[in-house]
Amino acid sequence: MAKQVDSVLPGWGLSLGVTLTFLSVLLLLPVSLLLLKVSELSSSEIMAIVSSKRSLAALWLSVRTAIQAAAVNVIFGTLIAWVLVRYRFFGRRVLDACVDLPFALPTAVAGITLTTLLSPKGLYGSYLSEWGIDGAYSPFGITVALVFVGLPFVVRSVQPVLEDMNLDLEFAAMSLGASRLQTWVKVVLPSIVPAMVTGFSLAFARALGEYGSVVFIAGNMPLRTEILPLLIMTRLEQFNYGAACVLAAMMLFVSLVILLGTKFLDGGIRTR
Amino acid sequence: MSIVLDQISKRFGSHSVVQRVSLEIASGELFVLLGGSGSGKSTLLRIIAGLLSPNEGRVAIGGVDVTQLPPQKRDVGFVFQNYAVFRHMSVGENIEFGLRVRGVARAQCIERRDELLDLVGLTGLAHRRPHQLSGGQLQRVALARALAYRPTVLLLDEPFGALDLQVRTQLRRSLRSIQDELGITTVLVTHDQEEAFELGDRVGVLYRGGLVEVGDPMSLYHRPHTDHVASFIGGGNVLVGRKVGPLIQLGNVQIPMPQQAKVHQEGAPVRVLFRPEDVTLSDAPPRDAVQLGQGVIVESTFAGSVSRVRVEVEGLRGARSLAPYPTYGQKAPHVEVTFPSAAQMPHLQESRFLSLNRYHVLDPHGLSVLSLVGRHAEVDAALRVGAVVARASHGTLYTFKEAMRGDSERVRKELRLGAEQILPAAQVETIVRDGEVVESFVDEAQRGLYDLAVLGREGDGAFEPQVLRSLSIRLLRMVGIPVVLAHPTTTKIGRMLICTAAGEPGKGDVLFGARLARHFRAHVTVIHVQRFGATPLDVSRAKKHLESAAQSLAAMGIEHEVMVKTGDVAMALRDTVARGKYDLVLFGASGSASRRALLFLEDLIRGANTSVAVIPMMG
Repeated sequence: MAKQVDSVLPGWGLSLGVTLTFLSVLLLLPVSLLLLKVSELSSSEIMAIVSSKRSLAALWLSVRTAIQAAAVNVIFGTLIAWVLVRYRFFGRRVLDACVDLPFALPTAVAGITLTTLLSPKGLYGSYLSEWGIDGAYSPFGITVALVFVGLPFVVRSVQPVLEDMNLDLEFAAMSLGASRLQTWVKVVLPSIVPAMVTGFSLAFARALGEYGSVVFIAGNMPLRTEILPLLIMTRLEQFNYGAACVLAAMMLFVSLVILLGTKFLDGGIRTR
Repeated sequence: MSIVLDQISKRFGSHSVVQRVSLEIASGELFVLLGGSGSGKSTLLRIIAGLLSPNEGRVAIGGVDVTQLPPQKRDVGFVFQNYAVFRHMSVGENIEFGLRVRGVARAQCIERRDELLDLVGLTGLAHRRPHQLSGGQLQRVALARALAYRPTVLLLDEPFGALDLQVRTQLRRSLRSIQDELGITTVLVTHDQEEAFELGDRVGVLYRGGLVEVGDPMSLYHRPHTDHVASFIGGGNVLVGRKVGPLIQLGNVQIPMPQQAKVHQEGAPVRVLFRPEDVTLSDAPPRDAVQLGQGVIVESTFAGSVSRVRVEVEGLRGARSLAPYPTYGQKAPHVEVTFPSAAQMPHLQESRFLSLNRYHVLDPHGLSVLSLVGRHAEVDAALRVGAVVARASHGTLYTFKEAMRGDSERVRKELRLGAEQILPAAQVETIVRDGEVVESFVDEAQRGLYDLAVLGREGDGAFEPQVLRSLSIRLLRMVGIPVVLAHPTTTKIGRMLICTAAGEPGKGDVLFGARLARHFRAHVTVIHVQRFGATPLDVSRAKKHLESAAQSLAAMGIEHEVMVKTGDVAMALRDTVARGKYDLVLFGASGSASRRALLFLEDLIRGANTSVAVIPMMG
């Protein structure tokens, strides 16, 4: 860690100090308190909470739907970013602004709207039930809600990279004889994969912790459609703070592992 | 393989980038497209490669029409200014890219890769990553990559633009030897004329989307046809004089018209080019050389292998200088001279005799007319009269208008439509500027590209009379070009009045008038007013002048009459203008182009439906 002499911010010491204080107050301290609470419990108690069927089912559901949602977002978010950057059409700016709607909209509103649409009598739900798919009150519904809240992360990660990408790279590939598909797969895609991975991590992290929109659409049946954040909420309402903290720590651990995993993967791609 | 471009045009929106370019490049030739920024050179190259498609025209490579073929099928290698090396691939993978996508076997790819690495001088670097290489090395990789699958044509878009001087020279040499070795037809785009000369078998000069001239470097340098090429290429001195008999009159200096020069009309402007190294400075007037007379050293710079001095030559005063570009407050044309540094450098303010070892006369051309267009282009007098003059002389109309930023495309279109009713599209150029209109108009006029400026007459509503007046004065005095004040009813010039009494009778006025009249086949009246009480000497001088004016008009085959009146100058002229139904009245501003003189003029033509031309003092 070298001292940056030509920095715009006043003083290396000052800026580092502020950074650390800020992070401590807002991030490290709450997390430490959480872990402190967990440490009040005995290991057998912790193990009992963690390994209970209901907790594991909730955790698996949360992780699974978050990964699914993030994966869907990576595909469609990249496509949207591509369209927004590469094409000029009427209403492009409006569409561009709409991408941020999930940020602005209260998640509860999103949840209720999606539930209405996906419920067996709703606009989408009625079609889905013909195909034998449960729209609302199912893992499918949860994934849909999570796709909704996570979309902007992928679009906003990929978009600037695409904007900066030199068209000449594609021209070069084309003049070298590469077909459109080859150009895309061999030249464009490798340049935006890091951004896509970042977008995936952000969308995943957001989806894993999402509560507001999911509670309406999930149906919240233990073992079937109960996500982990809801289970934590339930434990809190039962004044079972210990269990809530254990579950929270568990969630923290799992998401850390997954985020570090993607960072590692991303780093591998970059230095390859 | 040969490349043939046939009438290629390309527009982006309404903005025309390439205009009707036709060109043939022979098989194995290294052809350089030279042009400034915005000249359309890169666009043209991309059209050859198929990365852009032309709006009109056809491209053929090796005799096969490829206009409709996508870049993948054209078999061209393309090298970009910013290298466009794939960052996520190794050097080797980059070079093999073109082979791999064509499904060439791995072993062959590697063999060809190593061959190319040797060719471009990067032996053994196949496994490096692009970020480990310097700019020069990256461009070598890009070159190797483009050559890998043996394209029929190699296209390079400012390949050395982003590199520093030393690397650039090195790469230039490598490129030349690689091209010689492979014998591949190559087109290189650059803005650097030194590069163009060093590399090109032939060079094509692009300007504002048009191919101005094509030739080998030697003839482009020494015998260009257009003033754009003469001043754009090399440090050149381009002076505009006038043809007088077998001579060229440059201010007070006369030099012989070379045998090989294209035929100029008597009195027509002659553009003379001489290169700085073709001028000799000496202490005494040299014999057996074309002399420019004496000049004073005003600037002297040491530039390594050569020394460069600027000499102000009093004798050339009155000749218009296109290059070097005249500086503000300069009294007489400056001539640029270079000589080997070893020779002794003259000191500032020292006086020397100048002579020319070699000079060249550019082809004559029609009038370049610069019109200042007011608010409503469709009814603008300056636009219409400018177009009428440009059409008659087979020249070019440059329409000039101010516009808000962002509005310029619409304004350009409007100007075009306005002028094209009178002129063919090829003869209209539009210039749109934001900012202070008078200042930017004077700046534009000062570029020395124009023979004539056209403004609206007072009271057309677009500009205030005093604005037009001060603009006229600046154009006449500082820029030194004739100014026409256009009247909206002027649609042709059939009758012309040349007044030699508004000041000293000027030879230049008559000659310029005659040149205009010749284009229009107009009838010319030359009028001279004798003041009461003029001395016999004055009378005989005026008579002599009128005689010679009549002679030159007759020599140019112009129908004319000479009129001599006696009395109050203003009254006599006003009377003549009012009765004569002239389309154009021409005055000399040889005395002084002052506010008073212009007010006098305005008073003379008040109420008459005529346009007015004011001629500055000319040699």
